[in-house]
Amino acid sequence: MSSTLLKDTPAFTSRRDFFKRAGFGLGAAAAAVSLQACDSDDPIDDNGDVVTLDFSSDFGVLNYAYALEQLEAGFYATVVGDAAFGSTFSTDEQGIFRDLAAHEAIHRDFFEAAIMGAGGTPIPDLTPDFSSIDFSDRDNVLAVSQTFEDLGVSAYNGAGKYIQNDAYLLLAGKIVSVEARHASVIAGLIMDNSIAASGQIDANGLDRALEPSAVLAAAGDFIQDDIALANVPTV
Amino acid sequence: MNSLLSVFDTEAAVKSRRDALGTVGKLGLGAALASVPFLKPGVARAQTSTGDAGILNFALTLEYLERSFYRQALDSGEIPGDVRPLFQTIYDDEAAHVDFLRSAIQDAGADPVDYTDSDFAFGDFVTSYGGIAALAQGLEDTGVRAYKGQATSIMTPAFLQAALQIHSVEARHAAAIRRLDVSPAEQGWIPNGQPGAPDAIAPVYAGEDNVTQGGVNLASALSGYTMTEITEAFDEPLDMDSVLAIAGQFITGDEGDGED
Repeated sequence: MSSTLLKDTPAFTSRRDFFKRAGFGLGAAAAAVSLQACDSDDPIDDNGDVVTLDFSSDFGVLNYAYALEQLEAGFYATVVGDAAFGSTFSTDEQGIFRDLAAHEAIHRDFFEAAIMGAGGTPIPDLTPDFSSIDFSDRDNVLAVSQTFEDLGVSAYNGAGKYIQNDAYLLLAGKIVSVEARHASVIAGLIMDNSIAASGQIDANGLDRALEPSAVLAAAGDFIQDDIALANVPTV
Repeated sequence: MNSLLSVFDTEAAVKSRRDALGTVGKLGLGAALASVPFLKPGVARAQTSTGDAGILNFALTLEYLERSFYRQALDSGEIPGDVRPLFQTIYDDEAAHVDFLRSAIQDAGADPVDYTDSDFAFGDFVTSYGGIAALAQGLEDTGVRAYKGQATSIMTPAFLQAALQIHSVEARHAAAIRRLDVSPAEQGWIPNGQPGAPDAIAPVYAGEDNVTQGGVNLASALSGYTMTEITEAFDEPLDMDSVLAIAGQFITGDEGDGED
């Protein structure tokens, strides 16, 4: 493995990073509050940012992953920070959601650091739109969790071929299987003995792979910012 | 392991996929991909197909092993009815992977390895539900690591994507198995180096406690997370030799002899 990928770690000394991590240091509730503060009724950030993911270099693909991890991390932070979390979910389920919140936040922080450490520019913090989700409704939260996890798996599976640097491809591989573990566990909570939403695994036993355009179309319902794609090779 | 390794054409995987991408980049990646259609016979192959086929045959061997294990486990009568549908689903997936990889290898212009279910023996691992769950966990977590370990050596984008699509299904299997009441694991993801793993499957988790990703020790660079959470958030690859050392314990028949 490359030891030079992140040999310099300016990411961890940036002010922006400091603020983000400080927020998480206050706990999940604080993170959830900050997300609420960015909700659609916030006049300061009404329309969100316009973000372009340029796939002509690996930074575009890494930022694509970073965007999805931001979405997942924000979602699970809100799940575990909800006032009704303890009564909505069983003890087992609460432990799972806390793990998922930690894993996705780690993925998010890692991608930001990796992009900066390699000399790229991370996309801005995205503004989520979770207004359609009832966080005190177990079935609703599980269904959205399944959507996000299966979408994440499909996204990584479809994007691997666009990654040129082997070190990045391996890192994506290290993360996608954890997303798949999440997806399976969530599926099992929704229905006994299930490992995926219906149609996610095809007759060849292959998990879904989705192109970035399809992934962003699905994720867009939960993100206020406009995310554009550039220079995605056509297969 | 040398005899087992010799089945796979590992030396042919000489060029990195990055180089291949760099080469095709001059032509336009889209055009290059279009010239290497997946699973369509009668089309000229990239020169790299031999290396990819070697890797796919390695994967195929693991899928034969898993398919045999789940068939023997389902036939044992030891799996409780309430979880039998899970094991049946996993068996069906592994059987589909065998068929898919055989076709892919043939389409790459190579010969798929041949094993039958009877070429594998699992001893006491298929005589009790606990044994079945333990080895299922070990084999699935090995499978995840095995595909991950080969991903960067696969040069044909379509083969890479297919391998990733199988890789994530193995991870789904692993997580579901790990959640079973009798599983040695307690959760779907791998904490640290999987402490408490039975000796028989402990080698599966060598190196899973890694916290250095992309050259940075995340345990010290990130704050607010436990060491356990950091290790859980990344699955680690395993090299082909190590995987074959694990798988080889259960291979009792000869490849390609056409006999059970």
